[in-house]
Amino acid sequence: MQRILLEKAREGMTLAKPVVNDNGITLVREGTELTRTLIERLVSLGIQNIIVQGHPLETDGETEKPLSVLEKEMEDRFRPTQSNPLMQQLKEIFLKELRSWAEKEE
Amino acid sequence: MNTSPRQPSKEIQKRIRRIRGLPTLPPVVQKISDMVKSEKVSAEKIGKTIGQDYALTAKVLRLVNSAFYGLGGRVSSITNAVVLLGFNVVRGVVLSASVFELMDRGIVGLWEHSLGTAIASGVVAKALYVPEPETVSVAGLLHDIGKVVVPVKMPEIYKKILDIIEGSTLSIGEAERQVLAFDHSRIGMWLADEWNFPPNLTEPIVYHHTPQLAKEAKIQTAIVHLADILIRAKGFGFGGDPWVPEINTEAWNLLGFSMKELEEVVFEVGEELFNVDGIDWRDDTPS
Repeated sequence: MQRILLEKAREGMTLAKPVVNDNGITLVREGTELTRTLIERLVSLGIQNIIVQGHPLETDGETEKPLSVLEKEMEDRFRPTQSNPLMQQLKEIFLKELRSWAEKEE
Repeated sequence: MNTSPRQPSKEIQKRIRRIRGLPTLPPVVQKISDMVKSEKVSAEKIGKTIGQDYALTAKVLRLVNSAFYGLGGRVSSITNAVVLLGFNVVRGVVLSASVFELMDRGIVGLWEHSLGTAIASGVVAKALYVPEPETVSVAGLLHDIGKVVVPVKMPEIYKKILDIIEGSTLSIGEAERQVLAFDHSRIGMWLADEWNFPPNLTEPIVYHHTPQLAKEAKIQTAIVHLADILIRAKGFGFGGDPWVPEINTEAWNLLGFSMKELEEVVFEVGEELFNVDGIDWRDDTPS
């Protein structure tokens, strides 16, 4: 899934997450396929970004770091506690979670 | 631990002691605080008082609907929030909504760290079926409130703290203790006292780095302790230093998670953070 600006939204994209307004009220349910009317409606409601299935837009690279960089940063954050086995196990869980996001992006 | 390399000057201690409140809190926050202290206040009255400030109302509702895991975006009014979450939770949210700008001015990313810790606290509390999980979330939201004072009120002292952290593996708390002889937990305690917070909010603020010292809210404190660690590990926001704090064995045993359960919690937290990532908290901030 990918968070995109509403202005980049196109008919046929499918919502991976519900659209909520500023107050957190759900406006459109997840799984809904976008139509032109729906997109116009969301624009008129002041919605700025939505989360859609898949990865329909090219990212310019500055917002998303490659997995190898993210893994390195994760290792760094755990550096002071590397002698603690429990912290090592926690790190492994977080690395696994990190990779699962990378797979979703593909 | 018991060696204090730098004695704080008498002047710093005096200045810190004089601080008994956060700067520039809007009057409505004090009003709510006074109202909550009186026995007879109604949810409706609180709703009306906050409702006078539109920007604050919008921010409080946004915060309630994103920081409280599992409410599912159903809180549409302050009165509703008070009924659903209770006075103390709403008071904590109002305080957070009022100081978030201050948080970010002091330490960029501290707001996201706090919001993330609130969400993670809620996920952990629900996984453990702890009663009043929303109170644990708000404790997570407020746990680092003591970090706001020094950067905002005494930037030159904060500079010294930053210099110590730079190039070391010390935590912000250790650096604070070197410069001030105490850390943000102590400042948080003063603020919590000032606000007459109940123990289930105060203890997570005061003991989130030393959860074994909690007395009345042991489980809530252990949850916020773990939530803080999870959010640091995730790299969401910035808590003052780049490191993941070490899990306290006593707190870990009290929570009693298996590694499989911890993994489920971590994945759930990741999903919840994805939902709030990218929300612009600054757009309706009156300057």
